[in-house]
Amino acid sequence: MNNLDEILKQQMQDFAPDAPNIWAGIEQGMKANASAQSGVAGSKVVLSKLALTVIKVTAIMAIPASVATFFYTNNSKKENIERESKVSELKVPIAVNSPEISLDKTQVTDKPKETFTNKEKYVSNNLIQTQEAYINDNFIEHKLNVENKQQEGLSNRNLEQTSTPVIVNDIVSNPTIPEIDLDDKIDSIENIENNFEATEINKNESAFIKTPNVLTPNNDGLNDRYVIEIEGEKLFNLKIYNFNNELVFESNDKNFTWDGVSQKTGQACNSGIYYGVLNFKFINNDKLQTQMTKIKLIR
Amino acid sequence: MSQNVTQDLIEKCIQGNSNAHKKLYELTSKQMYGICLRYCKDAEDAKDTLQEGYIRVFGKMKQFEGKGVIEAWMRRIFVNCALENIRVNKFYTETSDISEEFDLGFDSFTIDRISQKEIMETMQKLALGYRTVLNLYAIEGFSHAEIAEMLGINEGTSKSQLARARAAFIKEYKKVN
Repeated sequence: MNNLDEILKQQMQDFAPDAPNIWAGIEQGMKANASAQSGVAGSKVVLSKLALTVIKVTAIMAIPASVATFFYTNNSKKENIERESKVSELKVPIAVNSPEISLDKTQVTDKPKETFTNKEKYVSNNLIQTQEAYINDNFIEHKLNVENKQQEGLSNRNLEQTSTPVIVNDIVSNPTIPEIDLDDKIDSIENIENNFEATEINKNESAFIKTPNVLTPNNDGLNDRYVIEIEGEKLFNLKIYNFNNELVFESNDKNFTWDGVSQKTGQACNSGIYYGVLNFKFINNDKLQTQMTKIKLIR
Repeated sequence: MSQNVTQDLIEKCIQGNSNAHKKLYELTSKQMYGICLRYCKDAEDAKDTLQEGYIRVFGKMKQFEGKGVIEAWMRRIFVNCALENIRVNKFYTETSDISEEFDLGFDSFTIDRISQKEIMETMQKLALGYRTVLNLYAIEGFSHAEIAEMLGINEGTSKSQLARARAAFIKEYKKVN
């Protein structure tokens, strides 16, 4: 019965019939999604704008109202005490002007207390001055913040600098990085000549890479081991994933051979589709390149 | 086919480049349509699932972040998409336990050569529940525990369904040949 599973797997894992062309539908769906998202975002913006205007209006309405009530109550007291009609006459224009000068309620309500006995000009001037001072204060605070942040950044950098040796040690102790691999270091002197040859090849011909797409580990001498032929590379990393995206093999050595055994479990991999992901750099090109190969493993 | 899906193309797709999306679609649509056909009840359903799957893939592209192979990642999304459609259609109603059908004596029966077309034709005739389990276990390689979670059934049910599905497959295949 397991025979059936194997047959189905081998036959159907790379089942790729001619697909109907539905790109137009996909594009439409994508657009609909995008517009739905932007629509939501747009309505949010509209809402927030509306809310802002409402707040502004209420603030503007509230300020003169509060100021007026404040003055009204104070005036009535003043009138009771001093019975000065001039002061109350002077206060009316302040109430009208104040919202244009300031939207901050605390300032408006605080200021008249101090300047109540002063005349109109002084009041309005003081308001403007205090506002300017407020803005300046804010600005200074902002500046201070920025400076603090910069200082923090500097101190962070200092920390990083002090902590770098630790990281370097980590890298040295990690054998998976090919450049610092001890074996590589021993070979490096010998490799220099080879590498020079390789660069020469690159200048004349082009660097080449050959990735087979089948592996039959049955000891018949044909495709028993998976090898990649690559010439003129300076960085090499191969990862082989199984059909369910699980890593089964990884190598940084271009002379690797894979006989269809999982590195993780040590067990022979079942037949089926595997994916080889090869990351490499050629000597004459600093760009990291990726090549994917579908490997069919048949046992 | 997957050889042509480069890192560059994936990055462009993540950025939301529609040309890159189209390229990826062209490179992988056959493979993905194959999955949809295997799971869905007919070609029309498969077409809908294919479209839905691609929209989902492009929407989720940011989550890929080079986790293994793009094709395998995409396939998982398409399988989930197809399963959701099956669940929505409520075709998966057969959740009975082991029955007499369990041992039909086909163990000695072996299929040496069977083409993709023959497999598909036979699969189309199976009940959707059988087909789903057979697809998930034999072809996709999920374990019974994973299948049970995906379909919302017991692990035992998954096992019995698979045994019955295999028997049913061979029965159907024998009928034709």
